[in-house]
Amino acid sequence: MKRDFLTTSSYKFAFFWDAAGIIGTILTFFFIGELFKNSHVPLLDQYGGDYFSFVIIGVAFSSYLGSALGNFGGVIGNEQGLGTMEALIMTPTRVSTILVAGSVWNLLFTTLRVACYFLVGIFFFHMDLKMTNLPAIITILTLSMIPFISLGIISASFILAFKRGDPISFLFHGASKFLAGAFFPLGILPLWFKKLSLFIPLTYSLRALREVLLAEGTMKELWPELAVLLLFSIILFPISLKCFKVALKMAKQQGSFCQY
Amino acid sequence: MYAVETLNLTKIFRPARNMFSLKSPPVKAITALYQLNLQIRKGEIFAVLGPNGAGKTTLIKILCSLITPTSGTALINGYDVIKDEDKIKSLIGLVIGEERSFYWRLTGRENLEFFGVLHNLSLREVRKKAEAIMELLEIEDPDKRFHEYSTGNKQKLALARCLLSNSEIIFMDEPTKSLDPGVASRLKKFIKEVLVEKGKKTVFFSTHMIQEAEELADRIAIMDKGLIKACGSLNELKVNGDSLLDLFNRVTAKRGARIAI
Repeated sequence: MKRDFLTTSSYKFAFFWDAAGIIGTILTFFFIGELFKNSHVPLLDQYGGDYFSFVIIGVAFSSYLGSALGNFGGVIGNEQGLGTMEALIMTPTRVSTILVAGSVWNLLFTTLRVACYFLVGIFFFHMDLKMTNLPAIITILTLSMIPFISLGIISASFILAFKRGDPISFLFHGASKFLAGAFFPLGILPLWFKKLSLFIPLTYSLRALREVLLAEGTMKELWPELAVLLLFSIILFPISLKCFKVALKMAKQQGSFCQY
Repeated sequence: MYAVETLNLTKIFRPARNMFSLKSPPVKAITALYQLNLQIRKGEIFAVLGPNGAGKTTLIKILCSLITPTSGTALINGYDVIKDEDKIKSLIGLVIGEERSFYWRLTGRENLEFFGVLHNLSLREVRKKAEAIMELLEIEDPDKRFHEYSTGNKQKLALARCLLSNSEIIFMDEPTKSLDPGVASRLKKFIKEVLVEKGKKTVFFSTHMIQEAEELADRIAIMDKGLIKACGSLNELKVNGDSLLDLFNRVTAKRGARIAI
């Protein structure tokens, strides 16, 4: 973490532009929300009818879970690019430990970004969040993180073995924002798009989070979403570990730890 | 028991075929190492001398568990590099001549602290040890960012990183590459006097410089096209009155032939 903090803080302008990016996103969606503030959108009724709150939850959490997905691949890609991968592997510390430790800073940084979205939204744009059911929020986030971390490990395996062209990030990070309804309610999509969204963990995470944060949903009401997230976790986690083992073996056979 | 031992060690790289071109010819497999047999005693300085592409780096990477051999066995203090990877990592250190093996935005000291902690040392221990090693190696200004160092100091930092782990066996891939003669000479003296004579370490290094192998090594293996063409002490190699350069030119010019000494 110290290494990542020192590296990040050595790029002086990065912090500034990141903060500016958050405010820019919030302002964009705030004014889109203002557009149809006075009109009734039935698809938003179950979430309290406020588009701004709906979309900020979508944007903030999809970027959070997306970061969990991209983190591991990012760590591997970064070390390969820097040329430090072999020097790290030569130490007695396990590759899995290096991978997890290398992701902690990024995850904390993304947590801070999510907090910024909400703090700016609440204090400057009157976003209405119901933070009463904290255990439910923690349960949803935990159950959401496992499938995303698993997908992240599969993505890292692709990068370790093939360097570029990781399909997992493309499918689950890029497309899932659209298919899981980060920016709009899923009811607006054609039927076959809706069917595709059923295979994406983010769909269930966002639905559950919005129900808790905007409509004060209870654990009892959320169990279908939580059960699906648990199922994703049970299936994806062992697969991800196997993939990583195979990728590590491939990289060792090719001698390609420092290739990118 | 030998510090390093290889038995019929072979590595064949099979590059991937271009999937997007139907016309592309089948890619040829590259034999980087072929049936290598080596025994290096504890406390010995052993050089692998060979031209570019001889397979020196592949050999070192296999011995460091960074590449899996295709067949044969490699042992470090009797431990297999594949089966006992965790055990051998605490026995060996690798001096990577590659400048890119450090974090360029961090200082020399921060880099050493980071890698020291990964060697399971406490931050307190690492700081103390790093300070002593930097002083010993005369690393100028340890608080400069890595990219600001001269090539000589970067190489010293690579050696300092390796010394943090207190490994018994040190592998060095072209340790004096890109160094000016003065720095190279001091580094060689350090390897011989401090690491081997005082520290009782085993040093295994690769080089393409004949003079370096002559000055530093107890025994030399001449390698070309993945084969050991000759192996022995300097006196054993010069048995026919040839200089090492003559022998090197002679054996590396012949393809596939082995010279038994």
